Amino acid sequence: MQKDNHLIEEFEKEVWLFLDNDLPSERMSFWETQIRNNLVIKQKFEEIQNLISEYDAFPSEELEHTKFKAMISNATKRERLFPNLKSLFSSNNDSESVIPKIAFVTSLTIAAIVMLLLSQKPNPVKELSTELFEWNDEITTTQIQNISNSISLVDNENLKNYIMYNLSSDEWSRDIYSIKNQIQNLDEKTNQTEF
Amino acid sequence: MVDYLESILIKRCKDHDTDAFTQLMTMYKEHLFLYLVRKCGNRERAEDLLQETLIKIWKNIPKYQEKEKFSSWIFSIAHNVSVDYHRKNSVRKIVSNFENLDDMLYEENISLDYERKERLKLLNDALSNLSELQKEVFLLRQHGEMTFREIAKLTNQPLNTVLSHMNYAVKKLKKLLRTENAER
Repeated sequence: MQKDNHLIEEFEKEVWLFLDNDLPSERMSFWETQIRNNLVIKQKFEEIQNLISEYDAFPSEELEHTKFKAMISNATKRERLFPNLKSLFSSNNDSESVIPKIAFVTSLTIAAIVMLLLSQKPNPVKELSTELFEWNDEITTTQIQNISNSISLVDNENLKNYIMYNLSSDEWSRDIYSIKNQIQNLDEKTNQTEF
Repeated sequence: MVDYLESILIKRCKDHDTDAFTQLMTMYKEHLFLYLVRKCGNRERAEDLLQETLIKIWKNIPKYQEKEKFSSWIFSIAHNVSVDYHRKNSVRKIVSNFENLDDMLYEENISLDYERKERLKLLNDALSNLSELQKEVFLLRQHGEMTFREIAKLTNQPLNTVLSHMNYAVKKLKKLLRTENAER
């Protein structure tokens, strides 16, 4: 009885490896014989097999084929965009994969340098000085022009007369100024006649 | 390790042939989906996990090496996807596993006939009584058809621990299914 118990314990330990065919050949033969001839071991073995059969007989969970196709499509579409690029970096063979990787990285670097050289990127220092110059020139010119206009207006004799005659509120002053102007004109004419 | 048709399809997948990928995945669709449904106990979530698994398989298939069994390779991806999910959503997992798992699983399947529903509920109750590792070992074995050595490697557990979990899982399931059947 004790011998049987020990044998059953051994069997329970090894039955799964026996089913996997993962025991030394003499051990496999030993259990094959036991299963055939030993009723207790045979019963244990059948219990296991029955349970597995019972489990397998439970209803399956079915997944609709359309849903499954959609899943496959989702799984593969992520990789479709750059499959060649992907395969370049997913190779397992080191000797095969190093050369294309180096070539790829080198070409990327060269392309980046060429793009950098060819691009018309403005020099920020030059740009700033030009802007400052243009701004000074324009503003200064306008201001000078305004001042010049103002000066010429102020110097204009007609403007002085206009101001005196039309804008002066004092009539006496206007008359005096008019007489003074006429005397000056007469003086000038007299001087010219003398020559 | 890989049969001829499978090998051709894998090569075509490595060349980004989406039709080959559809064909290849259709061969594993049922087992993958069943593994994920029974692992997380929720059909809708299993669909999300299956989607994530398919994305990762497609992305990583160029790295697949044929010395490894293809089914083990895809189930290891599904396992990692579900582990990541449970790690990120540990609070929700506790709620779903121990409070209203049945409702969550079967509300979506209202069209299922009564007997089928009852059977699935029975199985789900039994599976939810297993520890995470017991369930994982059992499901990877049943649906992923992985050897115990492969499961041990994938779950980072010693082989004897994995075998022990399988023994406990089988004993518990036998007991639970028998009890539940008797009650019904």
